[in-house]
Order: sequence, then structure tokens, then C-alpha cells
Amino acid sequence: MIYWFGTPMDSKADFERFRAMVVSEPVLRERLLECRSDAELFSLVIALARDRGLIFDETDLSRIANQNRRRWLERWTLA
Amino acid sequence: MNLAGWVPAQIEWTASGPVISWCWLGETPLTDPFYDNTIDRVIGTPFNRLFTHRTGIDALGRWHAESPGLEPSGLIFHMSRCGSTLVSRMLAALPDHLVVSEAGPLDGIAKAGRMDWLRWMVSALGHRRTGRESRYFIKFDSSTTLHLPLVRQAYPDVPWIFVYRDPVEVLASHMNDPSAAMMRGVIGRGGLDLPAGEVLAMTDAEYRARVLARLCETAVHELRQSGLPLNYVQLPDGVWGEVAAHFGIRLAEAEIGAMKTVAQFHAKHPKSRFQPDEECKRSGIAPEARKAAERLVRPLYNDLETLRLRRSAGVP
Repeated sequence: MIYWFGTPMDSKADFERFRAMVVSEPVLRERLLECRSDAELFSLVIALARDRGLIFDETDLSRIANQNRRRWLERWTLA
Repeated sequence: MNLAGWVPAQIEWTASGPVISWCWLGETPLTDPFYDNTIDRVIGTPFNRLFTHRTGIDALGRWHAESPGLEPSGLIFHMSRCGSTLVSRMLAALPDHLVVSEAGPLDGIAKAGRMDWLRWMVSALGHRRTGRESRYFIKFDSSTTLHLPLVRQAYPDVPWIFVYRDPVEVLASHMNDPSAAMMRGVIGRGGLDLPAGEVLAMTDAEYRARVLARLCETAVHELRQSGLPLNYVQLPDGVWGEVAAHFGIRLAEAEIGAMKTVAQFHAKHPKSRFQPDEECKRSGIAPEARKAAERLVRPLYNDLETLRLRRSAGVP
């Protein structure tokens, strides 16, 4: 198994596939936009992804969410 | 890729070129004083925490080709701390105006010196948010004034203004609470073509006065060819007067009323009423900073005033 920042490569690739669906599918996106907490969103994302044969877990999602947040907060140091 | 509803949130510079982070804004209007305030508000939502995604600069170009945003109707440059946010807030008071104020990704891409990238970013930020917008105004960060020639080249037919203020009052503000552009090393050397050692050896007052002078110098050079100089003392009336005329806007009484309402409040803290602060700034500045403002920036301020007065007198 190849790891990427501690995440199995397969789950990263699966999440990227799901993210591409979110960008291109308005109905899917609207459903996810209704979630008001990380916990609610994560469980819905995992379930909807599993329906599409894509597998990742809450730890993967937490890591991605934290990475995105950190990137924004560190924008001044990245300039 | 259909990026409708997604907006550039930030740029990262990598060895293979700029990388754009896109966050979901949907139809959220840009009502905050600054673009980054709006992004900061939405980027922390559960959806954006997870689905903010990154693309290369080519995706920005493809998005521009597939779905171009509005063409800009007017551009706002400024020397900082001079009333430019009031100008953008007043323009944003009208529902058919889309106003993008100091968008980090736009000011960031301008520094790359690539006209195509600049146009792509302007286009991506220029998508209608509510669907009612028919005019699109951009206020750049003060440091982007240094790239005014590039922006003018990209948009030769778009009217632009340069907002300025008495240099003692501007420097007083930066001595009290410096912006990032006024702190050495945060954003390069402020456009100063000087060795790093020389920049580091300057006092804060001299460095900040030199950066302000550099911005005004660039503006004076460009204003000799086009553009409208706008002094802080002309605000707020100048927005529905000279600025509206320069941008080709005909305003109804109710629209001027909406602008007047906005002008009653502090532009950067819209929940607070505006209080004039000229005297406070003039009396509070240290003698060394006052001298730096007078010596380094005042001559350029005088040039700006000459250009403004010649223009208002109809002298070409």
C-alpha cells in the first residue's frame, strides 16, 4: 500500500473522484451544502461515496478538512 | 469543468506555476468591505472545509474561455488609508453593481506580470453573484498600483481612478497600525528598487514614506496619460459626482441616497458611524514621520493635486 501523508493512496484517489463529482453534479452538491456540521457532512459524504464505490473514512476527511483550513490560515506565509 | 458558484480563494506559488484554491460561494453577494472578508466567512463552513479544491492556472484559463465574467466597468487604485474603501462600498450600495475589493488572488496574480493570467482572474471574479449585476468594479490592493501599467494594458478602454490623501494623514495611519505592505519583508520591498541592506537600515517612517511615494510616483506617471485623480477631500460627494461621470454611470436620486447612507458609516467597520479623523491624525504623528511624509511624499501629492485641478479646469 502506498501512503500519502499517512493516508492510503486508494482513499485519497477515491476522495478526489468524489470531489470531482461534487464540482460537476449540482444535485449532489446541493445535498451536501445543507449539512451544518462536520459530523453530519462527513457521515453523508462517506455514505454517498460508498454508494458510488468510493471508500474513505472520517479520519481521511478530517485530515483533508484540516489541511484546507491550515492552507487558508497560512496564506500570508505562502505569499 | 463547470466552476459556476466556485471562486478563487487564494493562490499558492509552486515550482510548476500558480495553483488556485477554489471555494464555494454560490450566490452569496460580496457585501463585506473586502473580498477576503467574504472568503474568510465562507471558507470555514463544513462544505468548504472539505471541498475547497485546487487547480493549476490552466483551469482558470479554460473557465474564462467557457464562461467569461462581466467586463470591468471601472478600476480603483489608491495609495492606501485614503478613502478608497469608502469608494468601493458606495459603489457596492447599488444592487446592479458587482464590486470586488482587494481580492487576494487578483492582487497576487497581478504581481506575476502575465496579462493573460490577470484577465483570467478578473473574469473568474466577475461572475454575477445575485444575477442582477450589470456593472463590475474592481478595487485593487494599494501595492497593485505598481502594476498599473500592466492592468491598463490589459484593459485599455476601462476607466480607472487613483485615490489619494494628504500624506501626513496617510503615514500617521500606517505609523499607528501598519498594513502588511508597510512591513518590510511581508510583501517584498514595497516596490523600492533598493538593496535589501539599505531597506533594512531605514527607520519605519522613512520606509513607509518611501513606499507611499513609490505608489504615488507610479500613479502620477500613468495619470498623465489617462485616469481620474480623486482626493480624499472630495469624498463622499465625488463618488456620485466625478467618479460616476468618469465611469459612465448615470445615477437616480434613490441611488445617490443609497450611497449617502453607506457614507455615514465607517467603510471598514460598517457597523460604526464614520467620524472625521484628519485632526487626530495630523496632531498624533511623530515629528520624524511628519518630516518623512513632507520630504518624500508631499512633492508627489502636489503633482497629483496639479493633475486633478488641471483636469477639473478642463485643461488637457
